[in-house]
Amino acid sequence: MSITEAIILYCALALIATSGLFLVTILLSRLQKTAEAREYENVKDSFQKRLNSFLIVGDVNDEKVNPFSWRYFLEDFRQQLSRNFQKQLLIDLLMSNKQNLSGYSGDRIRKVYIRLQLKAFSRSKLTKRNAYKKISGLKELAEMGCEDALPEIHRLFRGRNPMVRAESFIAMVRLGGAGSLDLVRGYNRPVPLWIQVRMQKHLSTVSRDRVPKFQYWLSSSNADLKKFAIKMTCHFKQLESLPRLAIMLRDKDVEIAGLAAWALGEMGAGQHAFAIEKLGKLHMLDERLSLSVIQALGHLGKPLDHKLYLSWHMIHGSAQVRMESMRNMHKLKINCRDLLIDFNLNNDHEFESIYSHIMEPLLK
Amino acid sequence: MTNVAFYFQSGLSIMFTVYAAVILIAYLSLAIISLYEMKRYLTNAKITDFKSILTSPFAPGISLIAPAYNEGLSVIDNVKSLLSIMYSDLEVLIINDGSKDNSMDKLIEAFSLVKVPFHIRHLIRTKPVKGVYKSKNRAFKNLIVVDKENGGKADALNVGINISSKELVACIDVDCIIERDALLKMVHPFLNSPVPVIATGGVVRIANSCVIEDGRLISVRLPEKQIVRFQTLEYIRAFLIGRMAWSKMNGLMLISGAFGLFRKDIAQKAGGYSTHTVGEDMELVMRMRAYMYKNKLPHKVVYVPEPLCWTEAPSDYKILSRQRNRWTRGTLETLHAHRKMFFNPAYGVVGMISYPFWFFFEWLAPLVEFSGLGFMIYQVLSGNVNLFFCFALLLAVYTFSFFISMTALLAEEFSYSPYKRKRDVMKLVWTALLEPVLFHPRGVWSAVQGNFDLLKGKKSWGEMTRQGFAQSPGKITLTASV
Repeated sequence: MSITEAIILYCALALIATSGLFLVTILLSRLQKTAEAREYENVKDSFQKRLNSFLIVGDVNDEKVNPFSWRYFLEDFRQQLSRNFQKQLLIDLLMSNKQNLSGYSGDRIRKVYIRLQLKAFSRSKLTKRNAYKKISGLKELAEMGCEDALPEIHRLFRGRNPMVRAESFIAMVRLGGAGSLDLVRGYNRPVPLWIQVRMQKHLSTVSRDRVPKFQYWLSSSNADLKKFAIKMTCHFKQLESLPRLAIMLRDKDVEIAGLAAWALGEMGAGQHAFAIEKLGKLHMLDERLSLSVIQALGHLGKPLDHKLYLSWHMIHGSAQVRMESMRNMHKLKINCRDLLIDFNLNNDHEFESIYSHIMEPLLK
Repeated sequence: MTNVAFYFQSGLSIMFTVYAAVILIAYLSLAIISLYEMKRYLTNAKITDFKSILTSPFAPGISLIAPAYNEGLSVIDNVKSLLSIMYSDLEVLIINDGSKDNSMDKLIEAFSLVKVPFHIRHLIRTKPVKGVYKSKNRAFKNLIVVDKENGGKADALNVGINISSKELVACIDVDCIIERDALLKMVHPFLNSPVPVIATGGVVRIANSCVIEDGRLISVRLPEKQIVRFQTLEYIRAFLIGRMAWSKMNGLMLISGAFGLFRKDIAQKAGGYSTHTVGEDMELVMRMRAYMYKNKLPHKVVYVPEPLCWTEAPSDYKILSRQRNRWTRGTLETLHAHRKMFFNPAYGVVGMISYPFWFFFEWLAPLVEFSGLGFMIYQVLSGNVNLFFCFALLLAVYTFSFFISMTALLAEEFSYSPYKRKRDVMKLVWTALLEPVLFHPRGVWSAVQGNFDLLKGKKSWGEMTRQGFAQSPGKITLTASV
């Protein structure tokens, strides 16, 4: 056997041995997964039963009414929390229960979380090197409303990891409430849509007084934050931000100006209809801006005031703009038919096709 | 032996050895990167609440486009399944591509459809549309059915893109089974990535032998037929080991035609699906990327390593051979259409790494393998190489192939392993042992045939008719035939 042949054979043997090792790993992993799943289910069941009795049976859950039962309940639970796995499972259960409970019951869950030293466990995660542990800690502290953790969270907000940064941003808004603007002042990094989605989801569930006044964010130097604030101010119909939005119609960033026009339209700011039209005239060729302006005028405008502007867009280069202009003219009860006759002298039958489309009830 | 013949043979031997070494190293590197990325994704997915997207007004709208051709047997179940997908701003577009069966009548009856004067923007040129239908029933208000002249899958998808009113388009095969939360997971990279994402794709899995009820996957089972199991293993390997690594390097060139999510504006600007190739899925991704590179726009094509789509695999060798033949022709056509990307730094990772990889190791590999085997047999017969060396070499290749399959199975074990029984693992290991001998050579032969067929000018897909879902009381087990 030559050296080449020996090398090839040894390589083959090594590959077979590694493959065998992989097979053993797969089978062991199956066993481990089954055992873990069983243990998880058992512990979860036991914890949930205790929690149910705590939440439903009245005399145990009030420390003032029955301090002994309360202490016994906590001590009993504490004995079950020797491993981090159990602590984490309980935190997950508390969080999922808290999401469906509010007021007094939500407060009691929070009390259990603090008394069982689980807050300290979550806080300790913020100092770990692993980003996912940090994120998990941030979520837990935010969900349980631990405002005293804000300084640590703020430190993470200035960190390098974008995922940790995003999570701490959300946590700060959740915990900082109406005053959270101060915390994110000077933030100059992007605000991805994912953060916006999550923030909106959270803010939709809290009381109005906990929602930040987004008008203050409108003057931020961060374009992403500005855009987000416009969307949120519109979503929560914060009418006090209308003057600021009107000023933003003159923003150098066309996207921001278009978004402001859209928001003014959605919020019914009829007094700014002419300013919106003026913005539209300045950027006739911009498809996205034209769409925002047309839609805003469709909400706010008066037929006689905007007929000319909207009819110009029937010959816009973008098919979507053409369609939107006709749709909004119809909305404002402007008679498109007269205009159609004029336009059809020089064009094909596209306008009639659009007209039939927008008149069809099933396509509305 | 003359000197010329000797040098020629030595040259060939060195060439084959170098080629084999490079391909082994390339696959090993892809496997390592994929495993690392997979771990990262899984940890990330654990802490991501995808359902936040469901109620958000900021999430982009999606049009789900499903072309249907002679799908009368299963079209109603499939459409119902698509309508039940979780996503708030969703429209479902079914494009009847000139079916010769009663698909259209069935759809009209089942969903109370009426013809509407829909204004179509012909941004991409397509075959004429006969009519657009909407349901009178408000429960199906997000369903649009388009009846058009037959023009092939690519043409039907283009009609869908023209009609779509949403920001993103999900192009799927109507007979595929899509997981209910698939769109939430596919849209997540569009929301979260700092670099604009133009397309995402997910893992496609084989549904043969699985239990299906009302167009929904109820229970996952390993296919009973060995030929389908071979393909199951092949899919696991391709989706878990290859694509994750390409996605990490931002060099992904292919998003499976069975299920992909695209930014509509970019797909339109790139010209939509090409009707001149049988590999339209890969060609669209390449063209969208070419458009972005040409306009110097940063972009990403992202791969989501979760089984989000289940499809039916060919269950006999005749259809399988036809499918592989088509895949080879599609690859070659696409590579040829975008040949200016080849080692072109203007196209970034795609031009410098992905395209050459596809050229040398996807398209060329079956040809090299076929000619290498012929060369080896010749060498043995002419006595230039001893039998023991030949045996050692074949053993090494065989064990490497087995090793890569085992790596894929290991990756699957630590990700979303749908096959829960230990028996299934052993069956897959057995499949991995048999595959290099019983299945792979057939694939190589189909690919070689595909190359010759393309040279002869063959352009057709090869007609596929389906038996549909074999009905059994309450439950359905997916079976297929031609």
